[in-house]
Amino acid sequence: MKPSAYEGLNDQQLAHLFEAAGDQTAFEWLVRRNGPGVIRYCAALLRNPAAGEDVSRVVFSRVARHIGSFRGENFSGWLYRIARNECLNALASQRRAAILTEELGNAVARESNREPAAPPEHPLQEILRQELPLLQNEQRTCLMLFYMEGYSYEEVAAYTDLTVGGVKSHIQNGKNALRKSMERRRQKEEKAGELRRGPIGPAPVVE
Amino acid sequence: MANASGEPEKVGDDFERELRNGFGALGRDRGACLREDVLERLLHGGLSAAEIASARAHIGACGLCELRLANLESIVAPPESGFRRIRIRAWRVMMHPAFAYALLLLVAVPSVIRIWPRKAVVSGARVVPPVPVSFSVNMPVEPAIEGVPVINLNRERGSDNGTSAAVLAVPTAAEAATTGVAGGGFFALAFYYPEIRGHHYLAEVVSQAGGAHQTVRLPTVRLATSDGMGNFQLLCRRASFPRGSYTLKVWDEGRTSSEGDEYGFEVR
Repeated sequence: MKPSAYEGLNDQQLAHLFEAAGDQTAFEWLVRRNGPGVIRYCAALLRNPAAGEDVSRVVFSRVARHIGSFRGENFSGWLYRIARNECLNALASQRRAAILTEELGNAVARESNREPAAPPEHPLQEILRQELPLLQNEQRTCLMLFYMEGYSYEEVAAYTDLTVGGVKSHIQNGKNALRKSMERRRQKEEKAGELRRGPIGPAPVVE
Repeated sequence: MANASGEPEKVGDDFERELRNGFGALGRDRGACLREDVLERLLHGGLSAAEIASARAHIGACGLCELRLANLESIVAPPESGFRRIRIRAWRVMMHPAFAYALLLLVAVPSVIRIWPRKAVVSGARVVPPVPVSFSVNMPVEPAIEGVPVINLNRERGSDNGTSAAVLAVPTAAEAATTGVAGGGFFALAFYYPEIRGHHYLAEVVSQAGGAHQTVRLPTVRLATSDGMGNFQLLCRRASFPRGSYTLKVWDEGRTSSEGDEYGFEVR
């Protein structure tokens, strides 16, 4: 195939060419066309231009590895989903490194008998553990990213591919659902407590 | 606690504060985020039960890993089996508008070119054959045998079919011998029945009292005056028909007699 012929092909066609015939030139064209956009996207998500470049390299190696999973509908959408996932992987790696550092600190503290006391379990912890899986997927993800991970609305929107308004709505609805289920739980507990105590009888008469 | 975007926390909203603390506590002891290969094996198999439980516990307390898992699911679809691929393609073909049009044509065309048998028009309790008016009225009824009297059972559409039976005074053989009328031993019943090429028809003549005088199978080729358009003639032996009222029942061989047509006639 002549090099000029690739110019007329769209991304889907190039991807099919690479998938079906292992055409490296087709893949190079895909990188050439989409590379700058992916770098910018990753840099924006990670808030770090250097990390964006690193991650975009991983993105394209992943594209090459999983091209068989591409179903041929929209290459750009598929590519940016991979890019988003690789950014999340990068964030997860950073967190892993931080936790390892923290665990190392704890180990040192234990060695010197200065082990920090484990914080007591929060009353909501168990309730959240039980109630979160019952929420809608989007509500749960947005709540966890916002409250647990401390991301802003904009960041949550970027990571989930939702609009900022959508994120706010999911968080609000998720909170309402949690509030209702907690109310129900509280009422149930109160009722159970009353049953345990039994009916209040007349006060004993002292003569 | 303020969120990452620096938005102020609502003052006095105890639930909001509780929620933050609860989420914070939940995320505190979740451990390190899952590696990518662990997530992939969680999706496509390859983890032990203990590893799955541990991974699920972490995902339940980590928004990032939950999102990564959901994304991964949409990116790395499991390889499609041959059967699944065929099923998906078949489904796509069936969902295509062209398929619906083709199906419609398949149903409509045979009915238009009359592959299926035509149905008689049902008028009240009686079945009236779709006889064109001019055809039934003006059609010259040729006798099967020269000189044989013919009872024309054709009726006009819309006429009172139930009451006006065809009447013909047919001389007996003895009368014919004395009067010199030819064909005295026979008479013919001429009638129209919607004929379909290749079909065979059964006919039965029933007297008014209900007894069957004869059941005749009528292969269309044997009818001498059949023109292939449904104009039948049935030659009857006069001696078998005492004077009285009769009903001729004609029906398609593949159907029941009640689905056919009835023609009343009288022999005097």
